[in-house]
Amino acid sequence: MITFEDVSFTYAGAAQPALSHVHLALPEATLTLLVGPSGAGKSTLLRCTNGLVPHFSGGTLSGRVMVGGQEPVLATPQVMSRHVGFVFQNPEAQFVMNVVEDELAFALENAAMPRQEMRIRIEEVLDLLDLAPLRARRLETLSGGERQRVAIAAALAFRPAVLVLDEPTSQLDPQSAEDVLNALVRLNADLGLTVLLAEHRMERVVQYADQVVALSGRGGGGVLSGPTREVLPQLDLAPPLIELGRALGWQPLPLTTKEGMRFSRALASRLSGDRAAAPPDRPTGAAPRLALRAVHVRYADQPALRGVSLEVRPGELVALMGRNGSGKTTLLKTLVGLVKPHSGQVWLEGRNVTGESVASICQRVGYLPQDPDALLFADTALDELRITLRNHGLSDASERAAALLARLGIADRADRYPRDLSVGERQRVALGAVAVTHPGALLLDEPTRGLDYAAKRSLAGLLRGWRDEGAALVLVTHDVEFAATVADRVVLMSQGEIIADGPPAEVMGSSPLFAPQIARLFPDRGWLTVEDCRRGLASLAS
Amino acid sequence: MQSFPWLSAAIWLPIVAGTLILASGRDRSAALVRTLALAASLLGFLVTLPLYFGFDAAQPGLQFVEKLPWIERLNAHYYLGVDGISVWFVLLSAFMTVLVVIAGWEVIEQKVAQYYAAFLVLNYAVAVRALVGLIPRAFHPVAVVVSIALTFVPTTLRQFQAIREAQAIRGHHVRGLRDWLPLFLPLLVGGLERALQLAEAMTARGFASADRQTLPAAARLSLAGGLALLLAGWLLQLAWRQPILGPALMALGAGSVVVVLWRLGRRVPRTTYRRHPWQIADTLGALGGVVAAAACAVAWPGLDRASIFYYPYPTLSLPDFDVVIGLALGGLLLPAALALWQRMTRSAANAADSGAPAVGAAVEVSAQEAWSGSGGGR
Repeated sequence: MITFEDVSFTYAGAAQPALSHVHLALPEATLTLLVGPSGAGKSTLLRCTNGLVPHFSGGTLSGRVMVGGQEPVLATPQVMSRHVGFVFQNPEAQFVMNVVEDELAFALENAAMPRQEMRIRIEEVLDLLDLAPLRARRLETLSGGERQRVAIAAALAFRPAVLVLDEPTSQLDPQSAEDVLNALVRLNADLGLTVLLAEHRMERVVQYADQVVALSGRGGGGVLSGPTREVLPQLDLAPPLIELGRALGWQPLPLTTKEGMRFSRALASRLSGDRAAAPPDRPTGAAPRLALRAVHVRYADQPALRGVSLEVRPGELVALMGRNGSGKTTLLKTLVGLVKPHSGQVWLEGRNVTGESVASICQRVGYLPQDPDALLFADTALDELRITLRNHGLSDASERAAALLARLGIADRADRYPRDLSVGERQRVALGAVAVTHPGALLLDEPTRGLDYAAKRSLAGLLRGWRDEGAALVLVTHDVEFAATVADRVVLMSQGEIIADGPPAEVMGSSPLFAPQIARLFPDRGWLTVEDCRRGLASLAS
Repeated sequence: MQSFPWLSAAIWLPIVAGTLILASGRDRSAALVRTLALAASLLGFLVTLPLYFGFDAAQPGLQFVEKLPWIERLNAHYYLGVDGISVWFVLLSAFMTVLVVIAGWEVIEQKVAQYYAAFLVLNYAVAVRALVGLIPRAFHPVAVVVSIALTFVPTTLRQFQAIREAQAIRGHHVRGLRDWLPLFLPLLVGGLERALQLAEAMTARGFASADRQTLPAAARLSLAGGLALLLAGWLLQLAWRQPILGPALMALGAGSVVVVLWRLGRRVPRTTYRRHPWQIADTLGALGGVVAAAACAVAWPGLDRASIFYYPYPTLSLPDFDVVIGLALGGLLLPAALALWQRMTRSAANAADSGAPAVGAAVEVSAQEAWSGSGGGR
């Protein structure tokens, strides 16, 4: 269906090729997962399938791309739009109309399709993506996941044989992401649609993928492709289940928890001994750095926080988890004064700061919002940090800013324009901009959104470093595996209340929804990560 | 009275320039079009400066007043003036035009003429949501531009809120004009980034496919000619008081513009998904409009026509009111009354059908109804 023969591509003005000598063959009706670190050329490869590369992007292309008997380079994106449906990362930036049905009709109207035919097609895609109840809704009233489903439906309105998606879930919360991915799997299974999907959240889709294409990143330009079970063992970074399976030499490599359990049960039955020793205690004696006392927050009529009390001590890393709308972000915003509590108090470093200005609180608390782009406006990364210092009326200590950039691992990006950097690097700059005042507490809202495995791993290292220096950290996250890796304490929220609070092994191990893959494989052992598991197995074996 | 009509210049310069650019029309002369647009927008900005510097803040009411009688029967005047609030908006609007022309310099590669013409005209003359459906098919790209602009509004507002919070947590507060930069720069850059993403998404959905034809020279000339006739006729009527020749020229100009647009519209291969059949409601709405217009335009014996013209300057006074004319103007409210009546009968029927739980459904249905009602006129 899709073939790449010796395809190389260089963007205009770029020194390095974005793709070099790529060979690929994707059969019809398969679901292919495209993985690779940020900047490895995933988006470029996807855009070759409908001619956006090189027609929209410019640059030099060599080799031959064939999609369903057409050559996109010769056919132009206009013609390819009939054969390849394309869905982009950002659900906000692909809509032209403001009502669901009109948006679906937009491309068909432009193609002058007769109304009768158009109505059939639109009913069809509304049903395929379960959008019928939303057909008359305005797009701005939809959730991110619903919007992304509208984008998929719009891409399918021409009945293309191929659907290509560029990280469609990277801007979504996990529940919405799950919706979107489930819809894709169903389309592939029911209609035999050929799906090519670039995705960071491998653990969600890997079991449905017929094959995996892995781009290895800058410089090398190597491409690994083949059936899922053959490619996965060769990847550097993979979901925990795959990583564990590889480490323990499980064959055939399990792709789902169910498959993994066959091995883990067998292993567990041979193990003796009780639960592994509890992880080292975190400080409990110190005075809390951050505290909420019986805080109530209300938006219009809707209660958002209902009598929440929480204390975070220095040297503690708390993961705040819970469903969408359970009040997690509101809690963070209350801590820095962006949301004023209806009743109750906010304490910072032993002082009641309820009602103080955001600026004065944020000098001692760093807060990284969900969309780091909203922070960035200066010409260079270093300037971003210096502007924060100046805002707070602190001396313009350039050495301090430069040292922080070095610590964030982006010292070589100090003079670059922040918005030109990759997602992970942009987030680092934003983190630097809020942390440059050397605050005693850091709050992070969904810091792993859109990050690849490597970026997540180095973020975890960074957060642990700050914790060990005595900072109090609170992170709101849906990312179960990430929380299991870094958190000392997990707080679960529901409907504006805290419903569980304790060490990760206790809170996450007991709740199937929030349990990481490893905890599901080895229940009742208190292991959460691959590292825990290997250490535990080693100590039991000795 | 002012010696030079600065306000007229500020309003008409961009519109005339937009028309000229449209007439010059081909994309291969993109450089010329850009230069022309920049020159026009700069000039448009410059003529607003005297308004700002010459404005006397101590004096209340309208300043820079230009007043010419237009249609005596309707007591219509060509009447311009700025007050203390709007002088800022005039300046801002002219300045924004310059910015946008510069911002679009490199980005807009195709359809340059249409883009700038559309922007210059739209920015000054059109800003109404309902107009999207009324834009002639020949200007299909313009209609798309308008609808995109409208869908951008809610997103941009959300974005602005997020940026304000993000800057606040960096210790930012607004003390002077310079402090707005951290708020507007991310908004502007983010908006441009989103615009590029949207352009890519539209390309991927084949937007340009039906749009690759050239405007025939004859159509272009008669369009520009028609507009010129309109303007000339209007000036004749306004400035040289030609009661027959002026309107005649205007009618000729308008007629040729309509014919050209209609013929061009037929060349744009496009279908519409929504059908809006003419219904009783539309007849009633049209009737209401006719009644209201008749009451105002014709001097019926016994009606106090002075009550139509309310005039707040130079001193505020209570407007006159004539009951009959008030009732006739109520005809304009007919569509709203109909929508309300439909909603009430529907929710009553739903409640009777299935009892209490139907309230949510009734609201949903009526929302849908209200929406499809507003899509009329196509």
